[in-house]
Amino acid sequence: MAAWWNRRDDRDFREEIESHLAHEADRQTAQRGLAADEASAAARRAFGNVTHAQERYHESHRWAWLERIGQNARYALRALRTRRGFSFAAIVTLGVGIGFNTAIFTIFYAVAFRDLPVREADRLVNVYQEFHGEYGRSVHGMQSMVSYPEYENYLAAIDSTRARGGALSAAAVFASVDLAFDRTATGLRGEYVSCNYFQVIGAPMRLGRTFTPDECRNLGGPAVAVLSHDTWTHALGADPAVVGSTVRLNQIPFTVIGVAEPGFGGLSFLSAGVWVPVTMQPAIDHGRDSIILRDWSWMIMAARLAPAGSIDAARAQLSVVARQRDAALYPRRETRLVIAKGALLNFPEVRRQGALAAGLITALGALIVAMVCANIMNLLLARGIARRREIGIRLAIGASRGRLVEQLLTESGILALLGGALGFVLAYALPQLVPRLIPVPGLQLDLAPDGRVLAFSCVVSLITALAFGLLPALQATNVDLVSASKGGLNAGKRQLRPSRVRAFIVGVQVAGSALLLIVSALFIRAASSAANVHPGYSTKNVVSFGFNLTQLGYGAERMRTTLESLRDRVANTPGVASVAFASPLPLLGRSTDIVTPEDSATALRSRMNDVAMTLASGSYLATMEIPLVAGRAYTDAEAQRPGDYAPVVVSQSLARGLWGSESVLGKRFRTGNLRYLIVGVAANTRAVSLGNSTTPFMYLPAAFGGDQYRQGRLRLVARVDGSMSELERVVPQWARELDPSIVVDGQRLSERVALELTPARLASAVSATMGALAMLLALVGVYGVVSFAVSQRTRDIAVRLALGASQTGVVRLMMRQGSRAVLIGLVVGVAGALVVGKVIRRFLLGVSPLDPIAYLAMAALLLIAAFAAMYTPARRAARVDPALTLRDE
Amino acid sequence: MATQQSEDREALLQGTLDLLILRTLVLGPQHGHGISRSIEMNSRETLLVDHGSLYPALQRLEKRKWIRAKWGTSDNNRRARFYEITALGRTQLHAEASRWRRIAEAMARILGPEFSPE
Repeated sequence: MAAWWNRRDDRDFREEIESHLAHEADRQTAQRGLAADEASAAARRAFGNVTHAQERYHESHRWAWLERIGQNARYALRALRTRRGFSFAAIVTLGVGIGFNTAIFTIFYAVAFRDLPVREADRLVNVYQEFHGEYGRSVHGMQSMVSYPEYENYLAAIDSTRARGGALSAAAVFASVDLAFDRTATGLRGEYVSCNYFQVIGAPMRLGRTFTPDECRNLGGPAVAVLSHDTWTHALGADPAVVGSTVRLNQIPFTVIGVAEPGFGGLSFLSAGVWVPVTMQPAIDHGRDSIILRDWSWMIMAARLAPAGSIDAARAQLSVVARQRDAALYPRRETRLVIAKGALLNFPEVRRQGALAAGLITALGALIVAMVCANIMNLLLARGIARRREIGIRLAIGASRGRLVEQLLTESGILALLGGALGFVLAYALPQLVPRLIPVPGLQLDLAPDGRVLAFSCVVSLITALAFGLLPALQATNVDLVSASKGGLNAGKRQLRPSRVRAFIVGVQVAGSALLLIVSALFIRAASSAANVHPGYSTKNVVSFGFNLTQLGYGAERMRTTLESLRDRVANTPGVASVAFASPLPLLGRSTDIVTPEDSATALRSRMNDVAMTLASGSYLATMEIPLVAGRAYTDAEAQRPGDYAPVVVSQSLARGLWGSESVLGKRFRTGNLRYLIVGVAANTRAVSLGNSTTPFMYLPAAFGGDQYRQGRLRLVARVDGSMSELERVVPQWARELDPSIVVDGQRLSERVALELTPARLASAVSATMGALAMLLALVGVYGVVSFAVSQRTRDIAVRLALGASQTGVVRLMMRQGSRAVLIGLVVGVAGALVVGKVIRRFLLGVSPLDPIAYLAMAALLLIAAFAAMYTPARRAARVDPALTLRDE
Repeated sequence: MATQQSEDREALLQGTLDLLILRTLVLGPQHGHGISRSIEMNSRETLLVDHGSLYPALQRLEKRKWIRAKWGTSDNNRRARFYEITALGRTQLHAEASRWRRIAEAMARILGPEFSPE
């Protein structure tokens, strides 16, 4: 009796069924007098589907699904092992597709979303400003960065509301600076920080202490520094007595007060090796007070959300401060705040531009995965037909269709997970190449895969498994039992129509590859046209040299004499055609100001925002071969004469923007409190970016205004006939003759232009790889469809050939199987490319998004390749021997 | 073949099988085959028990603790799993049976006396 509550197992249930069948057989024997075997067969018939009943019993168990997954997996692995070639091909293509996407995800995630390496990273935000309306501002980095006075205003608001439930609890600022460091031959990247920096972001010290509020109280002192662990170990030999010792930064002695924990390099893209109080900035920059400038974008503000604070509340709270500043400084300016979760790259400017690129790359990556899926789906469909018999038998002996679909899907799932695992490995390897592709020292990007990256590749794998597995599984199990058990493969064809599905898939593949190929062709055309675009200034044989004079503490006069003596020696060098000073040089930074015409009666507008400028000596236009369209260039002599108005050359776009078609020679304007007289008009150039030739621009005399900071950034620029390497060799020598501690940074303009073109080159390389991959997949698909049709219709072909059809006719007939899909796919792909081309127009420098060469070339390439892929199996069909084939039948 | 049935035999309505099993077991413990025979005979061969559904139904009832089972020996000397109704099963049977009678009565009232199509 104890057996009442025993748990049952499978065997027990099977025994019960056996017992039932025995009883039924007994009854049949008794009632109808059947023989034993007939009786048991009758019993089985009466019972119906035994397996089905067992399964239904089985599934009533709560844990049955777990066991079933194991069973499915075992079955699937067995099935995959028997078709090694197929499994290998599927796993590799999936691995490449998923790996490519995971790598892209890893990079995006690391750059724009990954938590910063600080305590409670999810409560750390960056505060950025976007300006609208009329204002003047100088940018040293990104325009959305803050000035120190702005930070102080925001901080005051945060401090005053902290006790009353303000949204933010603390805020710090930091700005990067390149420093001369006495312990290393090369320079050191440092950061000016507010003294609460380490407390706010929560970075502990390995040795010593962080800054105290007192150390930021007075401009210029005390000179204290916190070293990174890296600097401490590499430049100071991990000296345990480093705290209290003295290092020299830009020749100024600093007392080391602490060493940060290993791995901490600040919160920006490039790691910092030393931190100093922001109040040391004027001393370090030898006179130029960035800290007091109110419209100087140069610092990144990082703030902590209060426990109950939200980003919206923080924006609302700080917007009040921003509005007060607008009202006080620029009544027609509107400052909008952008508060973003802390990440390496979350500037609103970058986010806005990057979002489109990121979306595009993601979409193209998804397209690649879709193509991979389509290909595997194609293989699976073909395989489903091969397995029809097996599946038919399993259905006939009582497996339910749902169960079979489940098993087939498990096969797909295992394929996808194996592919995903391979992809994860690839994705782990690919980003490791990034530092090699972008050789920037100190680039801190955390590309190690973490839970989210793993989750991403798992999710992609499972989506792909469903995407390529479901349809073939449903198709394969939709079998007409009678015909399948008879072994006929053709009998169920009408019902299945796998050829239609496969043709559709091929169409999709052709469309996808056409789209990718055309987009890549557009990128390639754009990259080559960008390389050939004339920027409006000379890029060949132009070399420039920068000097660390500011860092060495040179005064204005010493700077001028040093630069002039170097210029004179360069000018007298054989082969040098022209030499000048300028800052910033094309593509090497951007400085803007507001231009206000003095005789407002004749001007079209009362002011012009965002006018880019270059501080240049008189010979600059000649050196860069920037043509003058009217007037003349200023001379260095008149530029140095302290008068009311300084001579200035403006670009055509600036002249048109302010005075229309009127002659602008002799017109006067102001920038801040400096006054200028236009003496010449220069042709527009692509100095700010290669993509833009109409930025309003002005060339200001270098010496005028005596701006020491800008003077220190002046570069010596020379155009030479012939080789630049001689000059590159001698200029650093001459500089060291003047002062051994001068560090010279030489750069060829052509290299700078090449760097500017790197994104375009990368885009064309990536999209070309993707396009080629997609085309390969599509060709495999087209080939498969036609070979399948050939294998299905061998008999049909034999009859035709026997009745006198020509071989050409047969080839044509077979090729028709795939050509419809190819042609429709091509049309759809071209249409897609037209849409995508419109979206990416801004990345296509100098090429129309409708560029006929890109479209025609790629369409032709794809068509020829597709027809070649179809011709091979079609040709095989034409070689069918009618006699042999028909005899077999 | 499994569902082979003569014109005058009806497949069981969904949900009625549980009730019939419980009713059959009131008479005493019985094995699965016996239960199905009993239902068929008592309905004068009108109701056909799909054997494939019977065992999952038994399983279901067992799990709800309306019936319990043990292995025993049947009349024709074969090992069989005998089912017995529990007290909980009896309560359930009472409730279900009266519900069914109400439904049947209501259906009969609506359908009225038998009428011929012509």
